[in-house]
Amino acid sequence: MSAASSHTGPEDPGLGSGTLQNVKKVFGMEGASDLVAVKDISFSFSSGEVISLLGPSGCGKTTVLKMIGGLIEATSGEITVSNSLVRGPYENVGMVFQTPTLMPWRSVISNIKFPLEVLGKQLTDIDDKAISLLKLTNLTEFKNAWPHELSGGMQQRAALCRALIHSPEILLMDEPFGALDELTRMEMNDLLLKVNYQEKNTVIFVTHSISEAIYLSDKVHVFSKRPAEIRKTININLPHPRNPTDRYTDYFKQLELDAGEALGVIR
Amino acid sequence: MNGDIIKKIIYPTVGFIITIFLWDRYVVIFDLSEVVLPRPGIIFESILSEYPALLSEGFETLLACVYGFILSIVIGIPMAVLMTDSKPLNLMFYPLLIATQSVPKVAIAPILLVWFGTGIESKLAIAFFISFFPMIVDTATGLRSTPKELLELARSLKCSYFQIFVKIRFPSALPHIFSGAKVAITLAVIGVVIGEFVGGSDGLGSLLMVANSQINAPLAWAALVFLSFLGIFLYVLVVLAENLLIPWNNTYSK
Ligand SMILES: Nc1ncnc2c1ncn2[C@@H]1O[C@H](COP(=O)(O)OP(=O)(O)OP(=O)(O)O)[C@@H](O)[C@H]1O
Ligand SMILES: [Mg+2]
Repeated sequence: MSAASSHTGPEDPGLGSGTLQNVKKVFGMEGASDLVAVKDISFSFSSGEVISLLGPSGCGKTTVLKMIGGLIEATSGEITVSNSLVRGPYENVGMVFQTPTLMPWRSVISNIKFPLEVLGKQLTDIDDKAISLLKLTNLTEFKNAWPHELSGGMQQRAALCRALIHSPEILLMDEPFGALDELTRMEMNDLLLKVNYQEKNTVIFVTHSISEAIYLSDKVHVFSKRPAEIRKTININLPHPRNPTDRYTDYFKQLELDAGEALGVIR
Repeated sequence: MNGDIIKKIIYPTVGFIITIFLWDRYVVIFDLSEVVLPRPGIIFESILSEYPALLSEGFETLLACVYGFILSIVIGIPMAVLMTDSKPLNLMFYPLLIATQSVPKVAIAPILLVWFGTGIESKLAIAFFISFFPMIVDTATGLRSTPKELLELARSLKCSYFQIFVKIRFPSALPHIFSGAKVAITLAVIGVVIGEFVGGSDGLGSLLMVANSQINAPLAWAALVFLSFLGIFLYVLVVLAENLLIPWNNTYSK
């Protein structure tokens, strides 16, 4: 926890923290036997932490993420976020998906402000917030562009701004950089850490990439094949702020080896 | 830019002139009678001498097309919404909807004529009956193809059904709706002309029938020319509306 403690979370230490207690998810299938997607998952996170869920395709990572966001109901077990039980969607969540899914009929800035618009928040500093996010993500000069005029990486940065505009305590990201090329992906990793440092929100990050998980996170939970269980939890004791050269240290390589073994890709 | 002008204007114009020229030569060389195929020049003369009638009848046809088209939009879109959002309604009426499309459209015209008389109503009914189907189908397709991540985003922000519809599903269906509208406007013109053939007393369709029965081939052809322009004009209007209302859509169309 020494690495995580260098973060300073929001004023109330409970905000943005959470626990999953023996969470299980069974999908009822029409005309077939039920599908156990998530068998038994327990972990907790504290405010401002970056937590990665790493696991093979189809193991149930997205399902866990959606349960944390209240979009899917757990079959059994308990999920608490910011000191209250999750019983459905709640507005203190920002979501970023694998594809940017901006609305093509809205300009970049209007896409970013969408959450405030539907949450009916009449913040006086909306524009300040939007402008500072645009600046943080280097999109200032594109704020009035159409989404299709942006590159994939830029669109994903706009999607990140949209997820952050209402200052959520918790940011749920489902393979957000999976569709980007390696170089852009590494840039986005650093950007995300910068954002996390400035916004102080908790990040739950789903990925297939071992090095991405280690580089970003304070903790990596390695999932088994479906039905998901936590095979191993790896604490990452790299100093903050991260430095791209961290990726090439022996410590980093050792962590990659640990994660690879837990995943079963290295025997 | 220059190459564009040559490709889009010069080439088609030259093609048009060649066709007209060959047509004219064909009639002269094979000595065809005017009733079979009038020379282009004669058709043009007929347009010049009959243009008041052509314009006023054309206007009747145009109005009927526009009304029929609007009818298929204001009825088709809400029907599409009901069918996509209500499973029971979908199950009950979708097969029926498909069945209506297997009825030969021209065959239903006399029946509609009995119901609605020879005025504009029967023309609208036929235009609507022909053009509402693509409107419904394309709108429904559009409403069903909202990216599921956007719906998830909306759900996590606790948007209401109404908010989701107005702010996400409808705008994202607009490109589909417009592709339906482009088919619908073309079909509406066909529907109106069928109506005018079968029982109308006004419009270019009935002018064409009258000219035919009087063996006035140049006038019949002149009406045909006007009908084509009318069709193109209406289609272009829809395309202009599309470019105006969904300028963001040019990723897909270009
Ligand atoms: N709504 C659903 N109904 C039925 N089964 C589902 C549903 N959602 C997911 N599943 C099943 O649950 C399992 C886990 O899915 P999930 O999407 O959570 O995996 P994942 O780890 O995110 O995979 P990937 O890495 O490929 O995104 C899969 O077998 C999937 O088919
Ligand atoms: Mg997934």
